[in-house]
Amino acid sequence: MLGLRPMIRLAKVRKRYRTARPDELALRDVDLEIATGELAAIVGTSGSGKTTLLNLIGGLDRNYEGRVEVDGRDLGGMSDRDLARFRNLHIGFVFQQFGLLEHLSAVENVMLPSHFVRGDSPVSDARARAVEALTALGLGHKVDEKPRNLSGGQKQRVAIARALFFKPKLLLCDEPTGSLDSTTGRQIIETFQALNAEGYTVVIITHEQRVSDAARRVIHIEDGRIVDPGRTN
Amino acid sequence: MKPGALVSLVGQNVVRSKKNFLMSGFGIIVGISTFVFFIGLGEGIKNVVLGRIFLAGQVEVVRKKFDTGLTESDSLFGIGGTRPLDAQVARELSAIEGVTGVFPKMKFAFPARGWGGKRLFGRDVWAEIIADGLEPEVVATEIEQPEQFRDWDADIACGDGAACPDGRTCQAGKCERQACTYVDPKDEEAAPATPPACPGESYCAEDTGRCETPIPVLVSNNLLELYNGSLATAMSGGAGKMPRLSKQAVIGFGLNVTFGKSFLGQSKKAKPITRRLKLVGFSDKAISVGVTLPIGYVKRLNAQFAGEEAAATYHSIILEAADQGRVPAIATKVKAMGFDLADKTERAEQAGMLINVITLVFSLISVIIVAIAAVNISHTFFMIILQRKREIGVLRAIGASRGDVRLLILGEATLIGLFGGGLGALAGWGATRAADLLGGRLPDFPYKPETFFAFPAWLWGAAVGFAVLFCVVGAFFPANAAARLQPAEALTN
Ligand SMILES: Nc1ncnc2c1ncn2[C@@H]1O[C@H](COP(=O)(O)OP(=O)(O)OP(=O)(O)O)[C@@H](O)[C@H]1O
Ligand SMILES: [Mg+2]
Repeated sequence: MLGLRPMIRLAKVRKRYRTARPDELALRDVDLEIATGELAAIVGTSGSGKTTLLNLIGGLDRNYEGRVEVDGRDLGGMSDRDLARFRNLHIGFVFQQFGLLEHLSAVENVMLPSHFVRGDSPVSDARARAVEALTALGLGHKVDEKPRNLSGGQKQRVAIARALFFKPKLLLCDEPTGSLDSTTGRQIIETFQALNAEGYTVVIITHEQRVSDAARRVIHIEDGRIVDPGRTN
Repeated sequence: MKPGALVSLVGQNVVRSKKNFLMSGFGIIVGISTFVFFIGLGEGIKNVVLGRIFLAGQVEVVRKKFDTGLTESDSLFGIGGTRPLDAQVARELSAIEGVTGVFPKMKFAFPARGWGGKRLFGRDVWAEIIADGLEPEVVATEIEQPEQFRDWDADIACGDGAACPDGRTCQAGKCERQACTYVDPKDEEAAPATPPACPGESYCAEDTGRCETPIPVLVSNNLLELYNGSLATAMSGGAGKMPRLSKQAVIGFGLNVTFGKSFLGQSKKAKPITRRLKLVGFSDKAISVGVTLPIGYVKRLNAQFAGEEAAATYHSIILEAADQGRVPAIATKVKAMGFDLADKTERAEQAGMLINVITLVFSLISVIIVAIAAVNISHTFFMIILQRKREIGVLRAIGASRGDVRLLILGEATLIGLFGGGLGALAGWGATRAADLLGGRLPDFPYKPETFFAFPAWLWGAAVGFAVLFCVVGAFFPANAAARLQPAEALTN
């Protein structure tokens, strides 16, 4: 079920951090396409530029050269406001450290994206949608629990539920299993596989073999360069 | 961001960081309570001082005096006198912009003394009489029975059902005094069975041999204050305790007065005569120590005992201003026209200024306290933003714009301001109640108010608005710093 139009397209993307030396590039002329409906893993050694790449794709960093397109839209041409709106509705993020707000309950965390909608929300009843997302991930009995009372795997599933709140086109995950034990990690990977089967395009950064094994495509990055685009077979 | 979501997120954030905000919030509370206390005190004192001791919104014009350093006189070394206050001057003064009323006053220009008060004090009190006359219409709206404060010695028409006052009969459309036989009060006491020669309130005057109506007088509200506040205490002892007096108790109080003769001297123009005065009301426009009569009586008595010139010149002219703010301009104009201001008016201006300055100083102190609290708030927010850096990154990732982040932090500042301001206002008000309670224990003194404080509505708005403003200003730079953070940057450890 690979779509014709690429979900992600990077052309001659170059990134240098402001504090870095002039010749020290975090990304060096990266060209990359990821099609709609793919489940792609990005692997590479520490400091190779994986997070940097994901930040550009997710519109979290606007300081780069080259062109980044997501779902046909050039992120470089968008204002902060438009980009925030785009992230809000069309991209779901999952982080290694979960990124939950400790003072909010599970359901309140999942509802957070609804607070930042500009204009009409595609979701009419935010709480009902949040409960639905949590239930789908097996957390129907933990909706009002605070994150400190949840296990690592449960926290990551709350984070995934939040990422899925508006049913975005793209899920970007940075080391989603990095803080979990192997059994829990496997369950999370299975969750991503299931979501991909439902039609979500999923990009996962990992340095774990079993995670990349689960992906249909593995992109290798080294020293800011795509050394193996890992064309799907 | 929707207002509901903003309020709930902001509320939850403040609650979780309450420990951080406690210090700066406390500063706001202290500053705002100081502000409310001292502004309230300033307003309260102004009410008493300007509203009751001096009269706000008025300018009292007097004839210019030359002050040679040794003496004051109407003319400089006897050459070229200053203008006396007469009817023409009154007309000129009424033309000044902002003047809404012109009220001439005329004092007795001859000696007078009075005695009476046995009914009130238990014994007769003798006193030098200081008297002042003004147009009855000036006080018509202020006193309870304006029909009583009138010139009974002016012609009174009668007939067609209009009756005459006690002791007068209607003759050819005019109320004429009935003839009577004067009986000395001492003889009357000796033979109380003697039927009164004049009916009702009227009494027989020795010099006219006719029934006269008592002269209605007003006294100032201040006089009763002064009496109750200190005179009653001072005059008690020896002859027995002097009672505190209420307004109701003294209305209708009668006093015998001898015009043209007092403890200090005697008029050379005419033989002294004796009349009765009757207290008919209280007015802030009445002379502060003395009695105030309808001006017609004063004019006639001045003509009789002091001469025609005394009857044609006013002692002072009160100008009523459209509002207190107009007073300085009017005062300046009056001085430019070659007249002086009564000491009372000068002092009122000075007192008002002094109160304003003192209030200003204390408001400034409270502003400094609040400003220090705002700096503290600024620091607190910078710290909190550092703590919440990752969280801000997460919020940005899931759709918060720069504006949303700024709004969240300024919202927290607003909430702290509302709380700090509200609690501060409450604490300040509580402190004023405590101060009044302590003040209530002080012994009575003249003009002692029920409360030393006044709280105009704007004060509450200013207190809370002021707290919110300083908190928001304090949070402004931290909020901007947080908003400027790139989401990717915020998300790094
Ligand atoms: N905020 C930053 N400022 C300066 N340099 C940075 C910053 N973030 C990353 N870098 C540098 O950019 C390069 C790529 O970093 P990046 O975080 O993308 O690596 P990574 O592949 O995600 O590594 P890891 O597996 O450890 O997370 C590294 O050399 C890193 O030191
Ligand atoms: Mg990384």
